[in-house]
Amino acid sequence: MNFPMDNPFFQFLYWIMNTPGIGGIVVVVEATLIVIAVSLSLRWINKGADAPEKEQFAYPTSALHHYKPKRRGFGGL
Amino acid sequence: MPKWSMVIDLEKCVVCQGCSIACRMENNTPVVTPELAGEGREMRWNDVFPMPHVEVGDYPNTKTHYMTRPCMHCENAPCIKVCPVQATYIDEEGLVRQNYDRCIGCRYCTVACPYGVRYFNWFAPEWNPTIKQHLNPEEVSSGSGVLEGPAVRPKGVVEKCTYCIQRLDNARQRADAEGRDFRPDEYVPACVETCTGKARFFGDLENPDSTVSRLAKSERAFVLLEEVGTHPKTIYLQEGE
Amino acid sequence: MLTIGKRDKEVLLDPLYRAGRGFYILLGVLIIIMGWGLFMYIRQIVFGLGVTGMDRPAYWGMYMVNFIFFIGISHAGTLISAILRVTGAEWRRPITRIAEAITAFALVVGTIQIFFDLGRPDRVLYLFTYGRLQSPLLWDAVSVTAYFLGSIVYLYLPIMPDAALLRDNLPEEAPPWRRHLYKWLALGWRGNRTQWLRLEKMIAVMAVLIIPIAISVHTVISWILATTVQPGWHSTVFGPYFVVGAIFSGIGALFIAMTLTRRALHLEAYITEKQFRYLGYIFITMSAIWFYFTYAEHMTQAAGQLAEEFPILASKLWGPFSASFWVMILAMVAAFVVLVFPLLLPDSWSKYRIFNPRFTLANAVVAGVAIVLLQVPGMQRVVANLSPGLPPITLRIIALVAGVLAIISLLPWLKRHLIDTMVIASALVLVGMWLERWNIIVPTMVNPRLMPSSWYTPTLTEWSLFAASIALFIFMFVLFFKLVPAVSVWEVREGRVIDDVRSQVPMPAPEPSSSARGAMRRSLEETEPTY
Ligand code: SF4
Ligand code: SF4
Repeated sequence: MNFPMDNPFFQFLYWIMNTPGIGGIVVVVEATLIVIAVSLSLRWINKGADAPEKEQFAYPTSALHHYKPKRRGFGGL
Repeated sequence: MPKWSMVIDLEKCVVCQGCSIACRMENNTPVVTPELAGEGREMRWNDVFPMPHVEVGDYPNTKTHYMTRPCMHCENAPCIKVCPVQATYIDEEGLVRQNYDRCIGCRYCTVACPYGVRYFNWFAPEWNPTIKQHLNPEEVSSGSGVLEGPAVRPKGVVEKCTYCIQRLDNARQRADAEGRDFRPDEYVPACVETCTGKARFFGDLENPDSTVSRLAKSERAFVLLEEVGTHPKTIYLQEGE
Repeated sequence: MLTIGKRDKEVLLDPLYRAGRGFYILLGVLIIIMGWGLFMYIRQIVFGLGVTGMDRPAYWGMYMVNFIFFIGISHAGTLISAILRVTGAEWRRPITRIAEAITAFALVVGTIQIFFDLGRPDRVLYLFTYGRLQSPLLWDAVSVTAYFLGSIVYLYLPIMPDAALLRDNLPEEAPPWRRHLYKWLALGWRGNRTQWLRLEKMIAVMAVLIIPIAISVHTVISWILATTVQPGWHSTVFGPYFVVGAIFSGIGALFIAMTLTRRALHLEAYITEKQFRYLGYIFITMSAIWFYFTYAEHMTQAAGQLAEEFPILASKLWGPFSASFWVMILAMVAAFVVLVFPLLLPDSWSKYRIFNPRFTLANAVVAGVAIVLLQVPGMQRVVANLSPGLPPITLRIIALVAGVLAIISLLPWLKRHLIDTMVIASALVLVGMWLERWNIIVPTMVNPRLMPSSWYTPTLTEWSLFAASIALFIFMFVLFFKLVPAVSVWEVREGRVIDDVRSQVPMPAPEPSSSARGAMRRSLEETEPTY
């Protein structure tokens, strides 16, 4: 049996696979998405500095984690 | 739309290498020194060569089979599937084409072609002065970024047999100029025109009455490496023992 | 203002601002090698790829081998550090930074190999403007892009708190660019609770995401080969086989980098034998899986005996590629022996006389001489002339026995020198893995269909670019660890806190199995519990 290549859906898929330039678009879109996601997350971390908290930790101590008791008992400790 | 195909009758082939020379002159294939050829750098879009590992009979009465090998213009060509930039592609008439202006020289296609008929320009092409004066000036180029046919290739790109696509162009233009329809039998590649033994046939596989269609149905017809699933359009006729 | 303990500061931060003569000599040597490589590359661009040893049908050669090799090395880091993070392996803390740095730099070096290999590097942007998704090369572009960006981020995230620490503890005499650099790297890090929680969350997410991406990268690289119809490549096992090989060689590279960094930066107190021992267990596992895949791959070819595949296998087993194939196997077996056998050796045995380095040396020399006599062309005649009664089989037996004795007598030494053992095994594995890639690419290339088989020898150009690639890798690595601490300071300190807390909590003994229970009760009755 022949592959149903006359089906428009498969023709569309083949067009995606075979058209020069789409690959480049995919790579660029992918890279852009990653960069945007990462920048947003970094900004999110950066904005965390504005939280009204006095204490500063040079490294995560038990004092830091006592704050969120739920996290204890699994993973962290 | 015609589907171009070539049939080669191995029984009639006299191993004169006429096709290879005709191809070379028609398509401006670079010439390399014997040392470079020894290093596997020679280019033969069409080649007539003894089949490796196939010898019959006991020494000294051995018999070697010869094979002539242009590009198979596979319907399901592995070289096309792997090219990252569509520098090699198949057109509606079934010709597997090569665009020298697009090729980035990754040599994935040369690695993927099971027939080994793709050639890479390891160095900038060179010819001796006499041949250089007689290079074929034709080229196939539609707009910028497309350079095909016998156009002189830059170094670092891949090239291969085109079934002399420039001749197809010329035949079409002639028909246009004369204000008539183009007939498929107006176009043959240089090797077919030259063949000493009249072993090569060329034509339209779609037309059931064409020579190639009839020969392709012959009992002697076979294609190289059928098991690889490439569906070549260069078809061979078996040699009698 | 973040603070750091005196000892951590002395060992981890202060050396960043000092550079000895050795450092500059090393940089100088590396720059010379890279300069030579650059010269050879420009030469290759000017003359064409013909200056390499590649030809028809060996259209791909050493560049491709190196490409796969370096991308394989890059699996050291991110994958290993991510897996260890996700599984909460505490001992990972001092080595994650080194591992992640290897990833980022090996990826850069691996990607450069593509430029070496292209006939038209000037057209490399066509990969984007005309990229076709059907080609596996584009799949590679997609997954390597994701991997590269991901591992840069994954390397960067844990640097943030360390950069803030550096920013706050900058010595007076530090040049101003350092101040800017750390300020910029710290990205406003204050170290308050919200920031820490967010950072940890993001690291956890990245660690999970990076694992499938890393696996996809080497799978896709194997598919570049496996999607063609070439004999020897068209194999379904290639994906996992390449991934395993990549992790295997990656750990090898990590061991060597760990050892050198430890020695150069005096990190003995941070990177301890524990890291080597535990990572060594993973190494042994990967080695076993590698043997399994190698066997599966070659055994199916040998049993199938397809007319096109079998000559390639034969060329590896006893043909022109037997040297590279058997050296690979030998290196891998030797690595396995070196890793595993010392663990099996009972301590009490070291009193026997044969476990003596001098005995090892003597045996190794005997074995070496015997192998030279056997293998070096022309030597056999010499042997026959000297002692007509000595047939080659005797020599072979001598070589074998002496070799085995040499290894056995070396075991206690290996057991005592854990770190040296790991370096030896890693070097063997790196050589073996490079040869594995070679044995996959080249034999298929030189044994094409419809053509007589040919041969491929890399030229000086290829070797120079290989050396330059390694130099570039070391160069980036060395410079990087002059800018950021080689050990993630905050993670190590966090680890200490956890250790402290652990030591205060009386840990209940694990539930013994029923059969072990009796033995345990008896031993408890004999000795008083110590806690
Ligand atoms: S013979 Fe080779 S080059 Fe020609 S179309 Fe087939 S795969 Fe492509
Ligand atoms: S060498 Fe050229 S034609 Fe061949 S796959 Fe690469 S870009 Fe395409």
